[in-house]
Amino acid sequence: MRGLPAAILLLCAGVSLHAGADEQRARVNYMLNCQGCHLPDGDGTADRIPRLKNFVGYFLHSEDGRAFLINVSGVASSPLPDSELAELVNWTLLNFSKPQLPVPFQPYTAEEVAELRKNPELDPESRRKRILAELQKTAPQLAIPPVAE
Amino acid sequence: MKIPGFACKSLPLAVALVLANSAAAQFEPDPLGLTRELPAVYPQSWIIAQDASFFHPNDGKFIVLDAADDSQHGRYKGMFNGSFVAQLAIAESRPEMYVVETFHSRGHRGERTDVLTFYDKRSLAPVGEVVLPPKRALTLPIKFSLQLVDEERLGLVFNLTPATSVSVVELERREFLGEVPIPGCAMIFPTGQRGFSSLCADGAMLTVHLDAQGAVLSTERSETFFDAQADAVFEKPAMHGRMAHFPTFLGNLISVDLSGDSPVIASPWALANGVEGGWRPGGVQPAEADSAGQVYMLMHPGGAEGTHKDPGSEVWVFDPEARQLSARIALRLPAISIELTRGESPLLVATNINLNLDVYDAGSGNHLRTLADFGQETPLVLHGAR
Repeated sequence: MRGLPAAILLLCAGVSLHAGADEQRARVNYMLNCQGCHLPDGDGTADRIPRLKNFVGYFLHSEDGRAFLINVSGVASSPLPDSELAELVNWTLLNFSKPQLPVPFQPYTAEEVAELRKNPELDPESRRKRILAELQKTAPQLAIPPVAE
Repeated sequence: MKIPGFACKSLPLAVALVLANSAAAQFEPDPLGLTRELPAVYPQSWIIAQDASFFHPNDGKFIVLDAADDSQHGRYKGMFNGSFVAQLAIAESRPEMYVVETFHSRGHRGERTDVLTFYDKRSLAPVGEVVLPPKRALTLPIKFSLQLVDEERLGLVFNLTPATSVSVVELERREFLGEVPIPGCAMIFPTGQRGFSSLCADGAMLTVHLDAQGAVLSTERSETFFDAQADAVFEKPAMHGRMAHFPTFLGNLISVDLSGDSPVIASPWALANGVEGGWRPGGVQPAEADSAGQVYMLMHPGGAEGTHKDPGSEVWVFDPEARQLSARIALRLPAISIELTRGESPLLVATNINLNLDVYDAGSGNHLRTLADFGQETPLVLHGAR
């Protein structure tokens, strides 16, 4: 219990969401909706579950990558309302992958999420590979590590 | 002097020999080494109890039983295996059954191999296998994890890694054809000629049609027709042909016609409309249909959040076309799973809370017999034999 306030303080220091966002709610939503597979530290598993930690931020360097993060079924089909979903994705990006984000980071808005989640991606694995391969070509300075098959 | 001694010592042996000879004259020993076969098409009253071996799942079993036979040795027809929460599908056009199962190279650990195993209905012997990507959903048995389409030419296996997809197997050539992603959606409900539909997390249905080589011809998303937060559908509909009757947690029924290219989704209606007591569907296998299309549902009173797997104390019988409750069967013991045998006078078989099978006359609701002591531990799912 003694660690909890400190943890929250640290969290707040490391993450800055847009006004009106509730970091504690985002964290709990991550625990309830995401970490079962992506794991508490965002590591995923090598061959099955995409890594978030020090990785997911790369996608925002591409327009298609930005859309993909919302089109992907786990996000698009989430039971959360648009505003909480936007808050959760922004928190996930800042919490797990801040160094990989473009500067300045443009958080998702509820409206943007509402529009993008209407079209869940039917072949996420292929599209993910395509986006990352494209980024490796167009943005070599990012030095995106090779994607595990 | 040795002779009398010999004779004396030999007497018991001689007596024994004489006795043995006379016994042999009266006793006809059973012939050994006979192998008897089951019929290629199983009689209507037969069922296959799927024992998932809940407490040691790599030792699952399928036990073939005649639910109409009163004698213990008479109703036990045979057994075949299914490793690590296997799934079963039974062909009608070939004397074959298919079991999708999982093995690890060191029993409980090591490299994982998923296979679709072909069993001969007559000998209950494994006669072939197709190795699959090691991705199949390892869940409690559920019929909609393994389905046959295209007049039983293609077998479809549900995968969960947790990315969801379907493995396609050509059953005549016994060949793995490929994998179809169904992101955010789950289960396999045969649709049209060579397609399937899946339930999606956002309340829609995804319908995929395949070509003869198992490649995707078309993909279509329905309008959302349920809300997984407010009133989730059970992923276990009562199937009658291509009609899928989905109960919901709160006790509605949504019928989906999957006979055409696109699902036709009917409006929901309340199963317990006008009945007091807060009755809701529930169980491991809560809903089944008989050959005439009547829907049978395990129901429990006092339904609340979280009771959707509670045993049912009654089975309610519905006419889904008329949207009417036509009968209520009070069970001898509450049950977790039900199945109907085929034909005009079906038997209702229910896995009761003691994990024995109660057999009822589905028409009258009378309890006929209880099937116990057939080597079962956790017969969680029942398959009407074909």
